[in-house]
Amino acid sequence: MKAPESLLSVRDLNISLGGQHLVRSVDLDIEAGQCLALVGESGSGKSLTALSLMRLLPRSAKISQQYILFEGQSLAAYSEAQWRQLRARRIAMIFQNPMTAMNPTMRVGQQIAEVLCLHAGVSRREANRQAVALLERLGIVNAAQKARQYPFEMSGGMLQRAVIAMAIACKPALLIADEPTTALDATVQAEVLVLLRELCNEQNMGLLLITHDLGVVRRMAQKVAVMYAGKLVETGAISRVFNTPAHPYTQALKQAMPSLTEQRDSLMAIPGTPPDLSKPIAGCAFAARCPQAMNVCARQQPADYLTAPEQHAKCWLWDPARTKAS
Amino acid sequence: MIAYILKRLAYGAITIWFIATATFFSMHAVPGDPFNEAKAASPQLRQNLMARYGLDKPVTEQYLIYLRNMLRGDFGISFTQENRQVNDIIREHFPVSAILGVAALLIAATGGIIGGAVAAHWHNRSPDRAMMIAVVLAISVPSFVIAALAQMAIVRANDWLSFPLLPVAGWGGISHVWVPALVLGLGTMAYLARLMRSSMLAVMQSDYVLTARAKGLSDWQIFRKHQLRNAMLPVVTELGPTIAAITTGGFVVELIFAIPGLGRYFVQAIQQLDYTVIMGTTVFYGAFLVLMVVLIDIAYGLIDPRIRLHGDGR
Ligand SMILES: Nc1ncnc2c1ncn2[C@@H]1O[C@H](COP(=O)(O)OP(=O)(O)OP(=O)(O)O)[C@@H](O)[C@H]1O
Ligand SMILES: [Mg+2]
Repeated sequence: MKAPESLLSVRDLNISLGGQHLVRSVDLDIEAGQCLALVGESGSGKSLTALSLMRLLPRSAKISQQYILFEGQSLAAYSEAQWRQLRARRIAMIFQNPMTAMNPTMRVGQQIAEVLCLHAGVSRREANRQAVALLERLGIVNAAQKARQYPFEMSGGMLQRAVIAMAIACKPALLIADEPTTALDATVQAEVLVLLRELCNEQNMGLLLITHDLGVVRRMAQKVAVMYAGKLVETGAISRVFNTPAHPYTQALKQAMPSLTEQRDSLMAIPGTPPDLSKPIAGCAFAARCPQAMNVCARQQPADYLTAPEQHAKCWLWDPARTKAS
Repeated sequence: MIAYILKRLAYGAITIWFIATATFFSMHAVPGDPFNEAKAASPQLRQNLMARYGLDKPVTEQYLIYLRNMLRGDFGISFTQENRQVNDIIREHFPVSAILGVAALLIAATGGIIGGAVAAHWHNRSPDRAMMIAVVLAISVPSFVIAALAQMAIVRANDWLSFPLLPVAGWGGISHVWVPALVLGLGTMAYLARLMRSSMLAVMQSDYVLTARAKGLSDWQIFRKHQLRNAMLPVVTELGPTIAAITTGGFVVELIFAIPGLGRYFVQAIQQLDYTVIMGTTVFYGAFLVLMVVLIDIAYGLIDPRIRLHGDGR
């Protein structure tokens, strides 16, 4: 089988902020037209990872990686001006709360047109026309009138469409959606997800979808990465990870979710708390909460083991030496 | 929007009536009257005034006469300056105070907004620290001290240059306006700068500024298009009370810089217990402040669509 062409590829991404090592040695690969889901409990570093892919981290953040390749280009040495050229044009982002993601004193249409003026170099009038067309395409009726409204005059679902319109205005190759449906009610959630999937298919756009909701992951993604305390503990194809989770954390997640069709935020239901990231962690970060923890787990970090085709886990249980011994 | 403005004006009218009534009765509670003083009016004038304002009649009747005259826009004749209408005094001297006040307000608002934005941009770095120290100084040192220091500085500068760069006091040209206006606006400027700084810091942390960065806008574009207007909102709301502070502050600054504004007359009138001038100028100042507050509310509505579109009382 030939591997699909990689759109974005990051190796050994590390982020520190305020003396805490918050994202630890993360590898990501996203393919064009595909959806990678990033899941993990609150505070595990999902948003920081996402922001780092657009260099939008707070100034005080320290970031390093072995390499970051996007559309065949290395971004590691990009200047701020080069990053500005990339943002919204090639890599765009949708934020969690559409209610606060828009400037409250600027008309919605204008906020969309702003991106087009900046990157597509079109006139303001043409940008406004395209903004209305985008809103229409995202299923907003009476788009011309809605474009003249202010954010506070719109419903959450409509605003999230406007935010998506803003993000896809320049047809980016990669879209990062950080919990795009958490602030919306269930029916609107479903509509927005369908919309995102259509965009992936039509524009061959890569999607990095951050979510708490395993039900959403199952519906949207081809691959999933499970994050715990700043580390990806398990990655792989959806069917593998869901049917035969390899890492005890993923297993616990699956168990904490009685039915995957039920849309509930259940990632919190695992006993214990994540470790303090201001101190170095000797072994596996999950060891203290792991029901299958062994002596080695607290002492030494596990490597990334291939547990099945298209499935990796960072867990001593999959150490070949141990498997042979037992 | 029109209903909104009308409502504000109606409240304003009630406020002015309240001010007029309060002034009237507190004037009557003050012991002594202007005719007791040696320097006071001639018997002739005294006779006329007694008749015209019914000063020999009961207080309630005087009050009604006073209200009726006021509604006609007639504040009466000065008790201490023969044949001088209070209306004339206001007409002649208020423009001077207004020029000084408007200049002070403009200096305070622009200085405050720029200063606050600069401090927020260099948050917790030296420009911010310096700015905050200056703010505390400007707020806590009274304006008459600052006025005296400013005059001293002008004298020194003029001596050193051996030609008069700026006049030390008086009124006449543009050059007379800057220093008193700056002195008058300084406290307000400091207050607005602090306000602008904290509101700008909040805006800088907001989600929509992150969205703007994700759009690929430069820092300057984000500042101009997304931060400035939103950060200014609380500052504009505060301009109303600020105008009151500048107006009352003007009394002192006019005295120190020998500026023939209305404030100086007001202080003089109080010293001489000149009833009509006190009441006339008080009510006039009250009406002026109320009008300013209404104007600022309208300006606020223009900047913030949430107010404009929801507050119209439809
Ligand atoms: N600006 C910041 N300064 C200091 N610490 C931060 C900052 N932003 C995030 N953090 C810390 O980084 C850690 C990871 O944050 P992040 O927002 O990436 O989590 P997340 O996985 O997106 O969580 P959630 O699901 O709640 O959005 C958290 O512990 C958080 O406290
Ligand atoms: Mg997050």
